[in-house]
Amino acid sequence: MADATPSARPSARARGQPYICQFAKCWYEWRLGELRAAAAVTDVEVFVDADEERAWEARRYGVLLRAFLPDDEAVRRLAGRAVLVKNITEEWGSGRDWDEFAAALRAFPAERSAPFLAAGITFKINVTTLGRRLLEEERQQLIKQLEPLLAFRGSVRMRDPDVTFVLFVDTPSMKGEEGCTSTTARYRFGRWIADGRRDLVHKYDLKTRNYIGTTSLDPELSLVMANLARLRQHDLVYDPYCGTAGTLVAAAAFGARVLGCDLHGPAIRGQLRTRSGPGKQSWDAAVQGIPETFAAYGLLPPVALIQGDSGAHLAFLRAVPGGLFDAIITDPPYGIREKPAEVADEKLLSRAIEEHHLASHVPKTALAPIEHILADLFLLAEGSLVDGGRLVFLLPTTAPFTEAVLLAPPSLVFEGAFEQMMAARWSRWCITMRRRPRDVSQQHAAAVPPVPAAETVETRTPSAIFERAVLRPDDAHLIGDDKRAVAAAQSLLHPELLKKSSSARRRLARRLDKLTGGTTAQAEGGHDGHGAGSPPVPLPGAYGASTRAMRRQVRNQGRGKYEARVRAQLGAIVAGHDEGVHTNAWRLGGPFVRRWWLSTLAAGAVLLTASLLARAGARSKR
Amino acid sequence: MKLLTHNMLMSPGTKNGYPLAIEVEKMETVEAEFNGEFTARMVEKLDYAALLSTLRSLSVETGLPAAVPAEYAGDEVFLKALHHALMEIEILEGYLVCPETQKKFPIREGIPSML
Repeated sequence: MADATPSARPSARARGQPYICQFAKCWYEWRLGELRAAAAVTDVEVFVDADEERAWEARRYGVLLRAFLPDDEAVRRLAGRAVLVKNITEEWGSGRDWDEFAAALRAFPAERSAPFLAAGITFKINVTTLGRRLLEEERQQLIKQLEPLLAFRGSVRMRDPDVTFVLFVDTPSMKGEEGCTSTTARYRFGRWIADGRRDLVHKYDLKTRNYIGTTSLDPELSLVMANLARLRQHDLVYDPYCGTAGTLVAAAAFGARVLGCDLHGPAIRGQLRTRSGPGKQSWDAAVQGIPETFAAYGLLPPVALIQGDSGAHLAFLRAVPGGLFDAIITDPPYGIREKPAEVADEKLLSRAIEEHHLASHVPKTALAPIEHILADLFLLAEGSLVDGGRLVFLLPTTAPFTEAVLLAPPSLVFEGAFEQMMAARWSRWCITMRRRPRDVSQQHAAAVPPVPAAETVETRTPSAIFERAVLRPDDAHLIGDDKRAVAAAQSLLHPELLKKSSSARRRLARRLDKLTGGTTAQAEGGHDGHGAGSPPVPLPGAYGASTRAMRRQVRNQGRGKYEARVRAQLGAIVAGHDEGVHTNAWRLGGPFVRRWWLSTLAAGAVLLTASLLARAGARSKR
Repeated sequence: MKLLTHNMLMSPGTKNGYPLAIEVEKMETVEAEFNGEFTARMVEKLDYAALLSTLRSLSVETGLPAAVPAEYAGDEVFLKALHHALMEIEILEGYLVCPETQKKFPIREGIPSML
């Protein structure tokens, strides 16, 4: 590890001054990417130390990141755009303990601090704690400790001060877990510069929106997508599957002009029944709709809403030589909550229906496979994006995502993918691709032979990585067999869940130690695998007994026997089985679920036989 | 439907299905906020000749010149006239007609159906 203090660590490539970015505690892996995209849009150069970035990625839930930024003005620009940033503070000093921190703060150049400490300047000091809350007295104590380190000459003013100082105290939580806290600096002090755009997340909250559908996009995600698309003022943005225009609202929020298309006419005409906005009480298409939503937010109205099929064979957009759209941002339907449809209406397409029925005709649709949706999207992006324009879209997968799966044309450069974990079995990825400049793409297509089809197409087609997140028929029998269930669950579950479940196992070990006075926790703390290290203990009774059964036991047999039972169960779990896997396996269809299904089936069979018998009896009587 | 949208639309599955003819049933002039920068950025994406012929077929007088001026970015008079033509003329009801196949695409409540 680095021997110098973080603030004194020399950084050859670093340009500008160190600033502390406080991020929101959500969208963990996305935050740095979003910051970089926001910086690119606002023409701010961000530099993050390699060590700092490694530590940031390793601790995952961290909220403080030290970045080098040009100056205060650039920071204000950047913060005015970044949605996942809470605030940015100019760093004056930081350290792993108070002495190191104090030394760093004293070493901060006086000519830079003097203007903000001078007499006549009003200031306040905020103490921001991470990991653990502090008592008011503790905060006061910290501020008192701070006083001799800096020559404060101004006067304190809590409301609207000229300068706001922030002291970040990064404490490991009482449980001793790392969580959001970092080990690189326990104390950081600086001057607050600007707040990020967390306010937009509340402004565009779906609960207060004029018009939404059942699958309107999370506004926070749509804002982040708009940033990843690097939208600038007056950009033209298109969503081929706009629905209730959730993506477009966010794009317009950053000054873009938008066009939306959807196959579902009622959705774009404002005719969906909505649970928010003025249509909530009495469903009224006159007061709700996409233009009304834009007007309610004070955004410029969408340029166009078009009813159409975004399939390449029905493309209705004229080919513009230099490209038409600056960005395409979309959440296509993949069949998880919204049916992926394409027009399959021979009568309509061949105009075999009468003209006066055209306008009211509801097109017949068929399910569109995921390959069609992706291929159409790529063709659209290739044809209609301007050089350097971006395609940002969401793709759900049930297996680890790789770029190869997209089978994108060479004109689209893969820029990055961020994962949002949705459930144990599937995640949603936000994928960003950039349109290669047109002349270069032609050279590229000529120079580089196409990717060998056999490798990608056969082994990893989009539908291969995207299966509906349902129980496979062969999963059920796995659950009954403990070892195979654990192995199966490990291959199926999201790595994040597995990580969580191993910490749950450690917690259980501690509880078990309390009960037995043993030393399982210490033994357990050593290895970090998924229960493969320690030998399994013979397990009395059914491994998958439900909590309900345990409760029944408490009622029937009294506390002593219950404790013995818990001990046995915990021992089994700690010894070789993973609690998280256990619970999830149970959810996927453990013995309890299976028993429930069997009993339902049995009851059904009995009822059916009874009714058949009764009917047969009645017939014979007649 | 604004004429900017009309300028982007063609008849699906055709080679010469552009520009679409407009059969107007209801047309309105709706005031829209003028932004010179946005309008200037639209110029290079436009098919200017198609726009002019559409305006002629609608018999709307906008005062647009026969060709895009060389220095259009700073030409406020031109940009304002173009803005009026592109953003302020709304076709609310009617049909778009494919010049190749004579297929009709209905426009209802200002939303064209390109199916």
